[in-house]
Amino acid sequence: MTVKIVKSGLYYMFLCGLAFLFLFPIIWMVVSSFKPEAMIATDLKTIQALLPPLDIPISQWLDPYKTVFSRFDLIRGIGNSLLYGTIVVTLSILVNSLAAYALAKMNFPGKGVIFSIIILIMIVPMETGIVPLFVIVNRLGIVNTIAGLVAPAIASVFNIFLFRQFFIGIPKSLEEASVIDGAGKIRIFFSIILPLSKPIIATVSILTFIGSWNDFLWPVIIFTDNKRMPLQVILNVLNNTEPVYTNEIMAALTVSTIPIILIYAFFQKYIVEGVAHTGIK
Amino acid sequence: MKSKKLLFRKYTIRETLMAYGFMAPAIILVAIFVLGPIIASISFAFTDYYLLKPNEIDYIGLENFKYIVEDDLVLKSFINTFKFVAMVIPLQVGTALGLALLVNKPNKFNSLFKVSFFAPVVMSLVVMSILWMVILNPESGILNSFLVKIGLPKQPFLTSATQAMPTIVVASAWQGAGYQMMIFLAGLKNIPANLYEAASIDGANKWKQFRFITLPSLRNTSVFVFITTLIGAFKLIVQPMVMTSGGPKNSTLTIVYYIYQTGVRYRNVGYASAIGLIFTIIVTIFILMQRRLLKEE
Repeated sequence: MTVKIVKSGLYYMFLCGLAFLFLFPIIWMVVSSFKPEAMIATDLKTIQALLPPLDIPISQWLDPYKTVFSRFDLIRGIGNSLLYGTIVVTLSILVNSLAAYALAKMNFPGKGVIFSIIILIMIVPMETGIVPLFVIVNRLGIVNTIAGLVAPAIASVFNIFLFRQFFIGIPKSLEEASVIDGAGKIRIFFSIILPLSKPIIATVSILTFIGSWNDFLWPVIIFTDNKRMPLQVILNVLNNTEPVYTNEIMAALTVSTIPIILIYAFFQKYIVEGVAHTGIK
Repeated sequence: MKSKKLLFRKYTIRETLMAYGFMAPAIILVAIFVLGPIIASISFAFTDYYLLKPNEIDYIGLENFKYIVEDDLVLKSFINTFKFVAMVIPLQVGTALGLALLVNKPNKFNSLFKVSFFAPVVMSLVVMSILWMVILNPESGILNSFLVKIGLPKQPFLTSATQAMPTIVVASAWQGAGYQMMIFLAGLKNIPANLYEAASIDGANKWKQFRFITLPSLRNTSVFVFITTLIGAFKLIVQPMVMTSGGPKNSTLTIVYYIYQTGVRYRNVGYASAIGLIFTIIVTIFILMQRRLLKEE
């Protein structure tokens, strides 16, 4: 009995150690964002580095946030990121679910070919096509526009695949009932299929939004106008603009991470399901 | 009777039109923004396309490819990319599998641990890169101050040509492992519990159960995790871009980063496309080989 207790004690201690390895950078980021610059350096040598600055008044905790928001246009960056994310999510849901519905529930010639192309696209690494993609967007005349940023991100074979897997599971009888009522495919899709698909819509929305919020490379390539830059690009600018203050950087990083952590905390179930679905099927 | 009827009306014109109508937006966008770049990169690769002179594109045959062979930076960035892949795959996938096995039993504590391991996944690559840059700063970073405290020498980390890439490997695995852990957990959940019961009645110990039940049952999951991690690893660019700008001494210049520099910064689209084409072919062959190996085993 005691052996068992010791064993499970050791097991949990080991897990706690591992959890600490994964969490300490994040903890340090958040607590450092509340400290005066000099305090970060003096705290480094003790455990105080991972604790909030309890010996300074709470009213001063937000000072690094105030200065970093006044030095850089983070508000605009956050606004841009929210705008781009919302557009991509909305259009992505519509475009990909429509395509997935046809693949899941309709019979037509060429279905096999289209499905093979989808699988092929999922396997071949696409990032090397970033320069030709830039050229195409340039030719279309949408460089430095919101259209140029979001258009390549809307259609996603990965999301089509997720939707298709879900739609296949919806029983045919539900649709047949409405066919008898004389409803067309479009009406069936919008009034029966989509309302039944809230879980997968949630999963795709969250994963797409996080992807868009965190994207860095494409906006750097496509935008020349600083006013259009999303938050991630501004973070990199901030990290390279003298004078660099650690507490200000940590405040900006925390601002970028908090919304995503909140989304994760509230919609954890959907994220995990999305991840799990991709793995098993 | 019914089946015969079904056979006759396998496709109806109405349904076919409807289906293509539903797929049209996706097909058009994929054609322009996914297939378009692939086709474009194949044709650009044989030209001297310079972005600022779109009207003076000449076909130059294999010139770009000849130049690739002589370009030391191409070789360097290929080696760097393969180094990264060779280090990060075992570290990240191994860590993910280990974590999944550790927290597999459903209970309150384990769901907390799962959240901890998954937390870095939701951070952006930029945030993660900047954060590690500050933590790993040789002079003022918390990691070196910890090393000194326990009596070890300070390390140069990202500022040294030998340590920079391994450092990026560890930081990337730190961020990514939680994602693959979730996929492994989903795979573990699908293994029927009675397999383990039967095995323990037969007297199989924990190791044998792992070796002969868990591992074989995770085969599809592992193939998936392996290939997606591999594809992700080959695309490495943001971390070196933010953390090291490809340095020191080009030790973290990756192939996609070099393609970006040539094509976007120096506007040399033809040459960048040629490098991209070669790289895509190599990676695709690599992935197909991997798939076969993992399937045949």
